[in-house]
Amino acid sequence: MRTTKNFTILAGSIPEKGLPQRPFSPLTLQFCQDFAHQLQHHPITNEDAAWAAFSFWLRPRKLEQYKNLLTFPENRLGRGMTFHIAPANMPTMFLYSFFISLLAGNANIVRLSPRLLPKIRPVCEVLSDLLNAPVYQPIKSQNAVLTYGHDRKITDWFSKHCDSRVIWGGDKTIKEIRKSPLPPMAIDIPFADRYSLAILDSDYVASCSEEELKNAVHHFYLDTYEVDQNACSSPRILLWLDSKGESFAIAQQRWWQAVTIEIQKYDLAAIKVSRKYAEAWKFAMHTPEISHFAYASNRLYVYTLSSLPQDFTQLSGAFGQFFQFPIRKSGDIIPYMTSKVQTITTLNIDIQALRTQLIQAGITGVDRIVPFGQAMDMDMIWDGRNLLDTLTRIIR
Amino acid sequence: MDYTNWLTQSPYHWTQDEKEAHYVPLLFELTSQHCHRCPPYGQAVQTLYEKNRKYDVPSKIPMIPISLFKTENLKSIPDSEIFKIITSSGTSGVASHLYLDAFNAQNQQLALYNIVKDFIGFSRLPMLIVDTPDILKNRDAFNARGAAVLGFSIFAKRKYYALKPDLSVDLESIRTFIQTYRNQPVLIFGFTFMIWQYFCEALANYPGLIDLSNAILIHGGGWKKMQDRAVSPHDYKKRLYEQFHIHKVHNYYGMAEQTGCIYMECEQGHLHASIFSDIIIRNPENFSVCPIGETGIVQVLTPLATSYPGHSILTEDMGTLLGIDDCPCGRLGKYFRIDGRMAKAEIRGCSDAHN
Repeated sequence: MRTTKNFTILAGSIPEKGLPQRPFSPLTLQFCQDFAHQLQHHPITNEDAAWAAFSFWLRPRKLEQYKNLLTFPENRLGRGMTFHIAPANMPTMFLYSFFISLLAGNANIVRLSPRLLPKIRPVCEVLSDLLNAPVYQPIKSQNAVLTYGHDRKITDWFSKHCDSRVIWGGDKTIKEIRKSPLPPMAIDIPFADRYSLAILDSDYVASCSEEELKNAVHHFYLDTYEVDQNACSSPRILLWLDSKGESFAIAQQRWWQAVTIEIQKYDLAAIKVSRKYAEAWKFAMHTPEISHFAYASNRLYVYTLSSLPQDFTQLSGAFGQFFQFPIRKSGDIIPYMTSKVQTITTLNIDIQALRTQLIQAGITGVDRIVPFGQAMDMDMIWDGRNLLDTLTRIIR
Repeated sequence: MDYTNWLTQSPYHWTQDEKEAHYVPLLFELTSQHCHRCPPYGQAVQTLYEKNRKYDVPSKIPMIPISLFKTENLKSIPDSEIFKIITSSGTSGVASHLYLDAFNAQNQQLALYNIVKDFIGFSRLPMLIVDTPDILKNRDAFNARGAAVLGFSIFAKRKYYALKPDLSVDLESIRTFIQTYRNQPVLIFGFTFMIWQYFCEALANYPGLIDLSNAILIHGGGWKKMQDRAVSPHDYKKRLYEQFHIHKVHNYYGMAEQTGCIYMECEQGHLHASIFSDIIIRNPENFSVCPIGETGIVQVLTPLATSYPGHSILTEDMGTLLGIDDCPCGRLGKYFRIDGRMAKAEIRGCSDAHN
């Protein structure tokens, strides 16, 4: 670890100049494999399953699949130097951001918030040790993971010298980071604040077996409580597809009863209760569409709506707060799918049919539709953008 | 309830049962009044609380989260009747706004007067304020410290300030104070942290003895900064005794959202609810009422809040009820301790008003 006056390098070294490589170069693939292997066997994966999920994401078979996402693979090169502003509330995200850009053939500067240090230090040590192996010298000289506080001068400097800038952390961060200008040819890849929702087959929930219900609820937990229901892709509102208008009442009752059992393991700190309760009051004050409020201890708040507000992306609660509304057909959601909507998680819904329907309607929002349990799965295609494609260029 | 009569009564002479008998109908009435006069509040209560709720105990009164006074404009009086707006800015930079009419403002003052008088034994005493006179001058930057100094000024026969505008010790002012009132009781008031840093520590190397053995010292504003320095309430008192021979030291717990009805620390080191307010400790899991000895989130209730819907507030502080009606000091009602802010809460404490 090297500390200069203003920032601390956690792994690698600051590149003199970003040297573009071909995507998925043999040395990079070898490096990915070694890193995934070491991470997989590191005790930290027992503490937080998210690290294990990352090493799984990086296994060779997956990498082969990612390759297929590129057109003209033989004609491509990395864009040069990528500067990443990693999010402060999702410890594993910096790895995804870094490895995607590395696989695309770029040199990288990854900025981490000092707040994250206690959580990511062991992983950075693994990364640093691996980069120090002689065989990986070419990668080490082109990549650095570092940390510094809110220091505009450093951000200015890296921004000025990069070819691509990846900004995680939402609207506020994007606005702040954009004060640092990029060179004319460089591009920004911003990840803004988004809103996500769920669509459930009401008939299915009303009639499925206990086993199926338990399984679905567990997947729902992974999408929501597991991340404090605070990820962009965590659903905040549940739309119940009840085509005959008969099953919603019983389905929702059955659903929330099962959820109540599943969430007993959730770490409900007093501070979360405090924020959640304050949010509940604000929703109650400003949302006349709430027709019913139900709660099971402070772990679960459910707001049933009498109608959908024109912009329901305001209905964004965390720590286990869900709005719900029954719909007759999936097309009913179309008028509400603004550009802010990111992920639709589904339970027993024909995803391809829904996708086709939304495309035919020419909607401005929705970037992904995935089954329950996959909201948190990181993909090379994120927020509607093929990151491998965006971070490379084609020599025609 | 007759407020005039209530506000002149001895502040610790109601048993908990007596208090609750007075409070239940009153707080219920206040809830419906605020629902009616402050529509956003009414809307929230109607949505979040079941209708036809039976208000037979104080714990069933709806409680508003304290942060809402920052994010919403909540008042139960027409603008023409606003007498004073209390603002309390936390370190987050977002300030609470409390709208008072003349009645509410006066009642808060009466409650404070009554409570503190019970401890100092006099209506007014010569008072040394451990702060700078500037704290009252700049009304634009009127913060929690200024509000507290102004509030306690009602007990001052004459005011002396222990600090200069740059927060260095004003030795001349302190000397004059001591020499003038050597043989009579005096009052010292300041924020917990200000007293520690700018009085105790600043005078640590003073060659002579500053004898304030005739003083009663009252301090408030929160322990956050003391906790950061690992100073316990015991250490705090010990130092004041060793350095200045002050043996009567009383901390208090209070907040801008319920000004006046502060919770004074007795000779036993317990914080006491007076007849002007009450506390309930809530289990974070489900807001059930915590029994004696169990730590939870502090809820504060007071019938004093008539002009804004703050008669029942869920704070962001953790606390523990220590007993009811049986403190050895003889004061009736609930007594408790504060266990600090919730872990990793947004730091909002009065004490952090120091800048």
